[in-house]
Amino acid sequence: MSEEFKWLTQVKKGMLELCCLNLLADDAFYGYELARRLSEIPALVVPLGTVYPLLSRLHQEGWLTSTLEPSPQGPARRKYRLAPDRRERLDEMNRQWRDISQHVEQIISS
Amino acid sequence: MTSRSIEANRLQEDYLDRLHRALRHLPVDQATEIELNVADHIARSLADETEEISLTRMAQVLEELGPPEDMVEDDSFRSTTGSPLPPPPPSSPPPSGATSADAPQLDRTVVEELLGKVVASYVIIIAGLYIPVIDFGFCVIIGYFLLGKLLAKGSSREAALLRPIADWARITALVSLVASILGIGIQFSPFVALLVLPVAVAQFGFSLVTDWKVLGTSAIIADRIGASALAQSCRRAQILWLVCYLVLLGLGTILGVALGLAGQTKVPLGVHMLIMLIVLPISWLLGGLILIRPIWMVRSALRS
Repeated sequence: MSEEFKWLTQVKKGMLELCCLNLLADDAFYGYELARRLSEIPALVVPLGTVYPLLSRLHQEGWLTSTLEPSPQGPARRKYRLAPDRRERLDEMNRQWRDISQHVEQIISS
Repeated sequence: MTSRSIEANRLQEDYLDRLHRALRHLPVDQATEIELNVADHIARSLADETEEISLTRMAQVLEELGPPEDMVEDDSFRSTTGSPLPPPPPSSPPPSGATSADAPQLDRTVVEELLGKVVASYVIIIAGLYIPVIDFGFCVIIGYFLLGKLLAKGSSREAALLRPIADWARITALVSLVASILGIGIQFSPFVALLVLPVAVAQFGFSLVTDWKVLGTSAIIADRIGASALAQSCRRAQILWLVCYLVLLGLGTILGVALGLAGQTKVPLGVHMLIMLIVLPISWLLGGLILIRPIWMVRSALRS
């Protein structure tokens, strides 16, 4: 993998996590719905399969809560939502992101 | 639910099998969650189909998901949220130090299998261990070749841990082969003798580095599973094995010089017998105790 490609992959992965947390902050989603929503963000085009390990990890780390709901198409599905106690931390992450992107933009534009 | 062609079903099963294997190193809860989400993804992607799901359609859905092996997140991507990790569950073994606490979990079954291959290769090497300036060392060539071949396979985290050994083992096998060819060639041309010593020294050096790395990696694995005493014993074995090598090199050199001074081009039968009866059994014993035993013990610890 070229250095350039690795860099972009890491940026996308970090952004994917931030977008995922923000989407789940306002609404609860099944993994499938979330993967589809994230795949609609053109700058974040990643294989849909990337979203599931991310969800699972965020869930294990306590960022997300989930409920199992029955599915007519197969086994029960998990619906995810941001854990209430992480909202403040997410707000902080969003502030940090705005700050970083603003400064980077200034440097790039200058 | 829309019916699927046999080929489409087979493709899905194969994909889910690969995913299951790729997620082996994760805790069961986490792996199951990913597998269920992926199975649900496939089902929902195909839910609106009105015709039988063809192989092509199934391949499209799986392609969208990406290769199952890529679903294993790489270490550099872990915890970019910088979140304080939740406390480990009570069943988690306590970390025995920075190495085991920080490193990602290893799949014990895979490592056990790989170490089994290492032990098998070393049994062949040690069985053929000999003073290289005298013998052709076919077992050494075969053993290191096997070690290089067997450890070069696989893309798992566990295989990656042992892969550097494979590179050194292959070089050692190659240099040993050259040494053996020169050993045969010396009988036909005296000029070949000029090359024998540097190649023999290179063979010693490369095999020593390979063995050193094998014991070092065994120590790392022992550390990762919390067997710190075993890790220490592997590190001690590294030093002891180095001493053995130096002694063996010394003996070989003394023998070579003595033969040269005596004007001998071939090892006399008496010396050959002496080596067969004394040096060889000692080499086996030391190789077995210092080199193979610690690797075997780490392999056994992975089972328990």
